[in-house]
Amino acid sequence: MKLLSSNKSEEEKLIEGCIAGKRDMQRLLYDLYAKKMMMVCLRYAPTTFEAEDIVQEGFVKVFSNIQNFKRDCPLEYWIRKIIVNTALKHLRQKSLLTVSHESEEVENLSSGDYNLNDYSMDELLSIIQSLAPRYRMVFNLYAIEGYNHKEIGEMLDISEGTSKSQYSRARAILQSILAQQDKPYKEHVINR
Amino acid sequence: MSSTDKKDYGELEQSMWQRFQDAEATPGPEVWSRIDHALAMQENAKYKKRVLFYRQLSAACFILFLLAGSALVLHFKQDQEAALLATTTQQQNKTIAEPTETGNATIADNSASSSTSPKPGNYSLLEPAANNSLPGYETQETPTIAQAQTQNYSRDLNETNAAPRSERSYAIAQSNYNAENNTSATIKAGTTETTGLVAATIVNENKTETETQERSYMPAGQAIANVPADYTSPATINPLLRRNAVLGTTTPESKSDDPEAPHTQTGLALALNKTEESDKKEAAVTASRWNVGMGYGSTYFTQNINIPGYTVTPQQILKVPSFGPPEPPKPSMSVESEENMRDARIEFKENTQAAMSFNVDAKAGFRIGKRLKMLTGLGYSQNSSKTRSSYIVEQFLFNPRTNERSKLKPTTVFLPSLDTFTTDSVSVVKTKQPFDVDYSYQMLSVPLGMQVEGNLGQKWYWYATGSMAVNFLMQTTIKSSVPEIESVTYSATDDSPFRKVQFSGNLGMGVGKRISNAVTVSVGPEYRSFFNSMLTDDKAVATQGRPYTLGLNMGVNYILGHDGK
Repeated sequence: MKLLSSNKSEEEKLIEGCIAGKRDMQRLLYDLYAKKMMMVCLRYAPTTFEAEDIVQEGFVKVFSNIQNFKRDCPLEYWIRKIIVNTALKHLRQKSLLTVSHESEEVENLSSGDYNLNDYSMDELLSIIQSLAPRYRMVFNLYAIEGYNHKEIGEMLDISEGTSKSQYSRARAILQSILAQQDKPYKEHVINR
Repeated sequence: MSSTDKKDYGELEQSMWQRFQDAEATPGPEVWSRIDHALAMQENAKYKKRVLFYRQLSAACFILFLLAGSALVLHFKQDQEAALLATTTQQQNKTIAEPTETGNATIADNSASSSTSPKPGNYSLLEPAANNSLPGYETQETPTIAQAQTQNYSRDLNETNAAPRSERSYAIAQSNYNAENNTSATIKAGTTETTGLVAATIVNENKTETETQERSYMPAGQAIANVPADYTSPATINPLLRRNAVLGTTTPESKSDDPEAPHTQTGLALALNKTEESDKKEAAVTASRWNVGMGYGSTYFTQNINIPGYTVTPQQILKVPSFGPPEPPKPSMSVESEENMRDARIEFKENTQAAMSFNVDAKAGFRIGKRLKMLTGLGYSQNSSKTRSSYIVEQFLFNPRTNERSKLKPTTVFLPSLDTFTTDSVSVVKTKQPFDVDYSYQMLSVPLGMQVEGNLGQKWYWYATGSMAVNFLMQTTIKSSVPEIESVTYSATDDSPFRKVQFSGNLGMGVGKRISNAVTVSVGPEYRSFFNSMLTDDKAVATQGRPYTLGLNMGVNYILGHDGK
């Protein structure tokens, strides 16, 4: 509890320093959260370069608006939210959120037991990045960030139904990719 | 999460979430540089906005001054015109006085020849309002008094024009009667047989009707001599009366047979005698000459500190011994450090900017004349300047006895550029990101100055202030935004490269408003120029400029001893 309060006071100092525009404090904050946020960006952006662009833009927003942080949620959550919104804006600006027309028919696979521990992070990222931008967004927002379809609809300016359908499609594509790579099935067979 | 959401959230999502929840990836090292650059750009944009705001404010103040100046010129012009008109009026009155005598004589002659409708001329003002006291006069009612006066007066002129004259005399007597209830002003008109000039005397007395009526008339010369110095003639106040005085006649309306006209005119003269201006004068007489005030100024301070450019001579590069007087020893440094030092000094010259400063003061004023006021007091100011630097200077000292090399605390390029810093070797390192350096000077000031004021209306006034001040430097702080460079602070007693006592000249102008008779507020730009540089002559290596501030001053003043009405 003491450690928690000490961390909190340190975080408060960090926030106050950033509000005062102290560059060393801003650097500390960046060092603290940059790696996690980079991973978030990698899930949304198609390339590392674009992910870094989003990180840069997002952190500039964080430092510019940190005086508006109301302390009603953890700082990491607040930063993550800004980064995600920046990613969405970034991709929207690049017109990557247009509805993709996937010609291939995706087999509607039943949900199996997935042991994604066999996949490296790079592999998982490349699988997610292989999704069409719109599907990638919906999948990230729903499966990893924890937003519901209504919120996703509002964020992406689409209906709740569209979000659901796009998510189902994204999920099916992922299952298909995973099936093609055979790892979950292999695991499944071994386990049986 | 809805039921559909729950249905969708299966094993795949769980696995994905678990893997990505705390996953990390290191961004490229240049990402922070880009963020830093973007933040610096933002700060510059904010600074530019602030500069733009102050420029606009300066422009607005300049326009305000032009307007205030125009109003001032107009005000003085009007005063001059009024004075000129008053002089002309006096001269014309003198020239008119002689024809008046003739006119009166004519009227008298006409009156003698015919008793029907004598035209009332300006003689109504020439007539005495009351003459000698008559037996039984005190017991009579006012109309009777008038009649008595009329009888008395008509005895001097002619019996035939008694009726119209009685009306005029009644009017004047009535005005005297109106002053019965402790009136402060009584008009008495006197005439002499020799000059026939009019002398109107306004005396602030609380006289009873009887006393007034019993007073005998004095000669015109004496009456003029008895006019109080602060008396403002109704003719100078009322343009109508002024014109009449110039023309030597009454208005066309007054020339009519309206018997109330002289009454009205005299009443008007009485009413005008108690104008707001005279009220203000009375209030000013009762108010003290002293006033106290407080002010706050938001300023921009330019420190005008120069550091020398650092150039490497060919002799130093080629190690050729130079001829002539020996140069002061320079610390040894590598070529890279030398280049960095030169760049750092160029950077200092280019990046040092004025920063937001402020001053507060408490002043006491003593009114010397109608418009002039002497001011003194005590002020506190915090003047700031800032620069952005990318270089850190590390200095080393070699102790020949112990053969040890000690390292001083890292500094910016500013301090090692002063004459106080003589080290054996210097290393200048360029940082990855530029950092801010703030210079802050806290001063106590004792100003002594004069302030000129003038009215811009009933409630508004303008002011112009010129003063000199002695400024005591209480504390100087040089603060860096990076932890590698420690802040340097010089107190008033420390051995500091900065001048501890500074003289400055202050100029200010502005407008003010009288909130009440005792309280005024004012606002206007202020310029302060220091007479010497910030650095002392023996510590400064390069030629120094004089610092100055430019800003907006707001103040509130209270006139002591005022009734506050």
